[in-house]
Amino acid sequence: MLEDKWLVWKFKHGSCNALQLIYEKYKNDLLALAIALSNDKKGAEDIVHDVFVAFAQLASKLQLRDSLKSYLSTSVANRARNSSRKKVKLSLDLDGVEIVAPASNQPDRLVMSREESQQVGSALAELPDQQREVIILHLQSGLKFKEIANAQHVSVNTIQSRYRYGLNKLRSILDGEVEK
Amino acid sequence: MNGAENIENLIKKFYATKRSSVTTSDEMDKKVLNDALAVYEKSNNSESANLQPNVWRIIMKNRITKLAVAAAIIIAAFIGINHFGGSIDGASVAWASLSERVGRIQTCFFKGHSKITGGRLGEKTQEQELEFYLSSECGFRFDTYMDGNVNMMQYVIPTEKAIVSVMPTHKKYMRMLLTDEMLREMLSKGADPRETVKQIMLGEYTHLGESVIDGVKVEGIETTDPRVGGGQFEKYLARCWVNAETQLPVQLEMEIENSEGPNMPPMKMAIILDNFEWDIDLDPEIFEPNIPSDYKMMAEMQMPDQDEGSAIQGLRVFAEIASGKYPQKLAVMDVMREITEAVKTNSEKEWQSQIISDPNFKPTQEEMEDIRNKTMPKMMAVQGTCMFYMELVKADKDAAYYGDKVTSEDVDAVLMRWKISDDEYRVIFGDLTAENVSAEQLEELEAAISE
Repeated sequence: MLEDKWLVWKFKHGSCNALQLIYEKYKNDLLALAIALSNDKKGAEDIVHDVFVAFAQLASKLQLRDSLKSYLSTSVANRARNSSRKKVKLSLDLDGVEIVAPASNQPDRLVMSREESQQVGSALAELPDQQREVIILHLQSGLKFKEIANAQHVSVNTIQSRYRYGLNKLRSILDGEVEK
Repeated sequence: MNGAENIENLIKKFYATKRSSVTTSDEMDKKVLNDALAVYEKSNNSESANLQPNVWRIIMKNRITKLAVAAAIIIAAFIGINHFGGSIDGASVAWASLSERVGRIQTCFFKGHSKITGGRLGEKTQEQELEFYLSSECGFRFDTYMDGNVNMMQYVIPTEKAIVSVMPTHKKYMRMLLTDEMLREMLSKGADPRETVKQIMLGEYTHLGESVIDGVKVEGIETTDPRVGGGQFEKYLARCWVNAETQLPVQLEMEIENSEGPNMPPMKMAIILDNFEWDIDLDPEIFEPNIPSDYKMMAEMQMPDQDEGSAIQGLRVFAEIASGKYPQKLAVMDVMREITEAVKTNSEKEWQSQIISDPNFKPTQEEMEDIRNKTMPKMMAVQGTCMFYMELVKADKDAAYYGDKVTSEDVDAVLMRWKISDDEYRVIFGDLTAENVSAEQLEELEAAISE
């Protein structure tokens, strides 16, 4: 957080180096977020590209309401949302997004089998866009409900409701899979 | 764990698995940066996409900014200690904190004003005027004035590898010797401007927006995070106002508060640094102490290293003075106060038999001076411990100190610890042995302290 404030300050005052550092710091997280939201790796790269070009264009005019991470993440979410409206919704078949076999040195809590991952991925794909987006922004990107609400110009209660309904639906879908 | 937490953990695990395999390609990086930088340069009306001039300008100015802001921190500690020094000439102990801060700069001059209330002063106020001279070639000089008279002049002299403190009103001076490494660090620190600014900006900063100071448009930042002061102060507020055009500081403000023990109001200090002049011609003579021949040298001491060994030595020295107890806190001002009290208590014990036989007994000036001279190296040793701890705090090493609970008799208790890797801590125990322990072991050891 501290480093981000300094990076933003330098960025607003003409530092190309700061812009580069911001990109290096957030590029992978933002790409992962864009892929999660759009289900399309190539499209996700374009989203991240557009986000950074627009960010660079703002320069000294940039005004952050929340954190830099929140700003960039919601910029990605906005573009992913616009992009998905133009496409037929695809199921999350993870094409183009390779699932890496669990590394042997990864803690168990971070390891998920391919089968389990496909089940969860399919369940997420069945959620309404708004619910899935809130879940991804909160659980993958770590944004707070208030930050998501500010970015989407809705109330915190609305965001929390979407989140709660989304989780409930996921649970019922996955419980149904287990029963099979 | 309830159902909601289960599903949340499952989703987190899902995204963590996916995230671990996602990285941008070189081709993507190149395209994004090329396009973004092109737009950025155009937006800023830059003449060239070449990084060097911007970086150079930032390096030059951030080094000076770093020095100026760091100087404010030093000054606060120095003035606080000076104020606290009391009957033992505590002013000298500020050298240790000064010496580590001087970086490589061209030249700079600025003035300051400090105001102290509370502590030993009670309701009274002590005000000092300050003047600073900085030169990359000649060193550093810091003068304090009270009621128009110079109170102390401190010099960092690279050619002598020494810090000299001169007190004209007492006609005394002291010398602190530096190792090559210390001097090198002082003169070269700041090679990476981002790193040096990070060192200053340890806590969360708030952007204050724009203002005008003396007709100059400025932007300000503020922090209240005590880590910025190395954990030396209980309450801490610092503001830095920078000329938006030149990116150089125009004014630095600090407000500090520290408790001074029972039965005393907290010590409060406010400092303003302003009148900055950059890259000016400074006569090298300014940096020569030119000590008159009738001045007496109070002491010549070696600055302690800031490493684990010196930290342990400082704790050992304190325990010897304080009957096996360690400093309650590792803030320099608090430690100086504790040492003063311990030395007074020990001296009174020594003179007890004389006091009994002669109720009017008072130690002679020579005896008092002898105590001061013997105490100062001990103060320096313990100050080394404080500075080591301060660096750990500033470097966010998850440092903790339990001197208020642990004594030299608690051989297996954790006295001090800091993080050395993801799962490992370095621990100094009550008997001043040191070991590496796992995070899990530390948790058990620290639980024992609380019991």
